[in-house]
Amino acid sequence: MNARVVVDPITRIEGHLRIEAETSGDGAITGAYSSGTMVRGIELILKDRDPREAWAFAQRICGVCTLVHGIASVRAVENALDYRIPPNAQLIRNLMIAAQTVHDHVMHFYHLHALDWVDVVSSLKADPAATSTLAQSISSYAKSSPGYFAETQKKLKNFVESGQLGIFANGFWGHPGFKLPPEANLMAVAHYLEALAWQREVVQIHTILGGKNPHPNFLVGGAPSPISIDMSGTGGTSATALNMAGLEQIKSVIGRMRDFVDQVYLPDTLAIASFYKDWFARGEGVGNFLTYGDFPEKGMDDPSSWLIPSGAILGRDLSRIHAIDLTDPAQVQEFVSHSWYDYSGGKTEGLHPYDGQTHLHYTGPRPPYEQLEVEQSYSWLKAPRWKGNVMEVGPLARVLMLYAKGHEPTRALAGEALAKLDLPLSAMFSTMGRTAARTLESKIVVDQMQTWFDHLLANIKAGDLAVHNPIKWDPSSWPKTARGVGFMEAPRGALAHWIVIKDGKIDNYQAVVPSTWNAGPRDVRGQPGPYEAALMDRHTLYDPKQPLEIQRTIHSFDPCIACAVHVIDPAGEELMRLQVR
Amino acid sequence: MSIEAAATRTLLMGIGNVLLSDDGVGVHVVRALEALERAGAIGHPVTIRDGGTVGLALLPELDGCGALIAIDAMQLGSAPGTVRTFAGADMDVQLGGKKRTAHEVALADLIMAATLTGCAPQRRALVAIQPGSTDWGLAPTQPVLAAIPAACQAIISLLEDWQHARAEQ
Repeated sequence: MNARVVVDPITRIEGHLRIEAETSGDGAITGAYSSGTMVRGIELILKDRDPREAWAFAQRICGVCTLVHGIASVRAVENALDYRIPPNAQLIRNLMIAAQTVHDHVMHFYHLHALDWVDVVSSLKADPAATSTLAQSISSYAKSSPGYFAETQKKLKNFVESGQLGIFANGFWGHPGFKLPPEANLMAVAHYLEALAWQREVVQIHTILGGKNPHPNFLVGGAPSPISIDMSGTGGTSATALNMAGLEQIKSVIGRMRDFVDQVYLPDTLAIASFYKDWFARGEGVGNFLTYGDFPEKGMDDPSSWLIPSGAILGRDLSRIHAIDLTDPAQVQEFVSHSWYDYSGGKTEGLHPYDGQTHLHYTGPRPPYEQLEVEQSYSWLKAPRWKGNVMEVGPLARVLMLYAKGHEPTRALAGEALAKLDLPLSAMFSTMGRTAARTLESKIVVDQMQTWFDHLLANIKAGDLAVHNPIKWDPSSWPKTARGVGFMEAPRGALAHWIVIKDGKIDNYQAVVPSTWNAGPRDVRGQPGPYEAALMDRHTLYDPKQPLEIQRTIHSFDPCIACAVHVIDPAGEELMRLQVR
Repeated sequence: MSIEAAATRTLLMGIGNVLLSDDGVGVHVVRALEALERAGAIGHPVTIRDGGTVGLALLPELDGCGALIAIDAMQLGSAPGTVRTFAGADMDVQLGGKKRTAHEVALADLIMAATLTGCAPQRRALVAIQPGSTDWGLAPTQPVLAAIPAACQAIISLLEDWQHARAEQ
């Protein structure tokens, strides 16, 4: 059964990604093609709806990033209507986005990406006492006794012996590309289990601030939960308003988030990376980076107050940051020359999202097919470009931008990490650099959460309970036509929704998501997208039937799309087909 | 809520993407269940959740739950709107089989992760509904829409069976 023909199961998450790689005789990747094989039709669903409820649909665009599309959507409407939100709402949104960022980064690392570097099966051979010594040498994390690691090993052994390898079933265990000693593998597996338990606490922030989880509420003009200073009654996750009990709970969750990043995620990343230094020398093919900016201390209209700055870096030149304007029709443009869409002005033009068009025109082979027609159209993703340049978005782009802007905590943190690994700054332009950037960013963001929380509490104590600005809620107060862009830094990268409002209804809605920037196909000039370029940057497959190398680099981007990896030999014969999640 | 009360509570979790017509039927079923609960027509202690498509992030929902009924669209090789229940080991077989679709993979991963971390519900079942179309659209197609009451009834029957089983223990 070919899953793509009937109910395409992968549609449940953001889409379906297929990678085709061409290799030379010695296994070196010479060509790579990234294809999104599922249509994103949100634009078609939102037309003529009330802009104030767009977020409820938008948050279902991507199965795993409900929060980020909700935020981008309400910000798009607010930007179109020049609608300011109260300082408390800004801080609440920052805390919600930050919780999502840190949660996703940790979960991505332990649940998906670590398995590219950690050989789960090898950890069964580890000596628990030696694992304990190793763990204590890199961190002060309390759970580090020989007994703890012996217990973890036993749990894993029972699990493996029961024949349900389950989540671990897709690993290329025993591949010589795995370099960690059994003890480091066991330590990582133990922390994988800790991360599962840890995430239960983190989601409480969304439940408390967004009213519910996994699909928190949003509100155009502010935040959905009123603040109550009533000290009586229930609080925390069972409260209907944000009260002191809920705030206390958030404070303690922030502390535990920070502890996990400091004591587990950061030391693990550095420990694992130290065994894979060769991966600091491949896997970053574009050299251009884009951030939209996020985490406003004051407001989205005051960029000087954002934690993450906006801008573009070209050709790895950190000495020059180019200003960006998301409303300029000549800057962000989407191309469809190699995508299954038509534009009314022809396949070669680039359209700004305000003028974006979603005319589907599938010209590919009838599925199930062996190979994509890469000279023609081969993806349901469009190819977004900034002033014609291919741009990478995500944690690496953000950490480089913070570094380039001279953000002190970032400089100190990156400097310390690179010194420990004995690597130059240029090592960041790589697969492992991208992975390390995700960890560094988690630390930068989690450290900032306490500050936002303190400000929120100070406002409340000073009597400011406002979370919503009602002034432009009524559509009769809106102009006849308006348009705006709502942007944010999602865990996977820069995300923006562009909205055109006409007579109180949505006239056009276009979302350009991080994975479109990173996973998009070639453009009208034949420039490969970031995934494609990264795979063509010094990758040689040890065994084409076990394309661990492709998996490492694609996973370093944190694709929230399931991907089907196909490796094709020079004669075009398909060597293997597997699903990597 | 005491630990004992939580342990006898059943989590009813709908899974699917409501933007993709029949793919979202699991979520549409839990919305119908919410209405039934408000009307007092369920008669058992339940927690009702719209799980969307968030996968492993649903793990916290399972924590402390004595029983789980997941409701999901699934290829059953039957006519659209067909409802089938897979309880206990049958559910595990359904999720662990070789011909797994990613719907089932997501759910299977969730159960595996719950097993590994020791929070897998003792009683579990999957109520599966055969989809017709999974194109973009906010409402299920007619045969799948018409199957929602049957799916609700299947869930209430399960709750009753489990209550009897508990009483006999």
